[in-house]
Amino acid sequence: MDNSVISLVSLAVLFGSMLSGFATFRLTGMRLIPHFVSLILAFIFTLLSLIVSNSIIFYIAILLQILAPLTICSTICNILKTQFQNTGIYSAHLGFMGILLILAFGNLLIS
Amino acid sequence: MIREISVKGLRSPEILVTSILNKIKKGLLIVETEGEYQIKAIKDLADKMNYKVEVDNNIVKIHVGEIEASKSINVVGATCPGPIMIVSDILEKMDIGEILEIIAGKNALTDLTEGLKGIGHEALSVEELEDGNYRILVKKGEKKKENTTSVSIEEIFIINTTGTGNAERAYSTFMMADIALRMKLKPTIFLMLDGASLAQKGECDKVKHPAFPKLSDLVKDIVKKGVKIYVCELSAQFRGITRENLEEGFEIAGAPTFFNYLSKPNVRPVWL
Repeated sequence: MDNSVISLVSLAVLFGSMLSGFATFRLTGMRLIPHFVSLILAFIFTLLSLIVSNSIIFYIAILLQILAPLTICSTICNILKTQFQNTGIYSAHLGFMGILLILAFGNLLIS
Repeated sequence: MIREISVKGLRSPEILVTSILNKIKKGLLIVETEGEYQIKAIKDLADKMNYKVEVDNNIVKIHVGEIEASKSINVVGATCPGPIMIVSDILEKMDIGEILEIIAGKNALTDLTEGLKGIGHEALSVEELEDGNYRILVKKGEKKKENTTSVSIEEIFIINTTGTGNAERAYSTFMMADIALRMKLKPTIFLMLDGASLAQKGECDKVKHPAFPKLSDLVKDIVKKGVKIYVCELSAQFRGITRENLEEGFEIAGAPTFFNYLSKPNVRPVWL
């Protein structure tokens, strides 16, 4: 499969997760800032990798796509442990993060 | 033996209290006073006579030797709602005025004293034992009668069920308590379900909104001002929160404490 197709799907997932993440960001507060920043950067670099044919930009985009789901780990683990009544609110965003991680690794292996 | 007297209106209440204390060999003297000046006089007298004194609002309790209990029950190790249910069953079978001795762990202390008070019984004394458990003496009282007269709201019971997962509600919980204090309303906070997460050591340190101070600073301030913060025992257990990782100033309590507050006519609950 063409890398640009996977990157396009990743871009769509990133955009969707920015929207679903914004809702949880408003709810949870500033402690999700590192995650939200990495998500925005991943979106920018993925978009750039589709426009500019540059391998450095491509690998930075992949790196950020992997980092973005990882930055949520500590917060989400704590939420799942102590605030599981609210997990429904986070589930859409968690789903997107799972898809993004697999797409990033897939894109890396196919390239 | 328990004797109850009122010294309201007396200029020198210690004279009457002395004469009664001289007649009592064993038991408890409960004195209803008018206020600070009478309490001080009675406390000084009891201290002189080497009797243990407890003051609860305008009520002074003077312990003369050991109070003999009619029955005794040990509920150490039982968790909410076990202790209150066991004790209620026993009290149900006892006569009004009889005394029940309860040996309980710290986890059940607030539930028993608050919960039993709420259903019309009286906690006569609470004593910490050497093994860390507590000996509570409860006098069986009459069932509370319904009161239809209007009352003014003096206390606010703030219940948080969302925890740090909802930063706005977490901030509101402690800000409302602060506002209530300024309005001369006595606030009490109860954390249950996800709200129990606020009680985990260090959890409030992670919440900071640009427009407000760190949540943990608000919490410390509220605790310093003497506001009681209870954490539901069941919710704490579900989330792995124990006495070891409980934030300072927070207290584990259970359903009896919760319902006691909700059943007080002068208390208004606020759900967050």
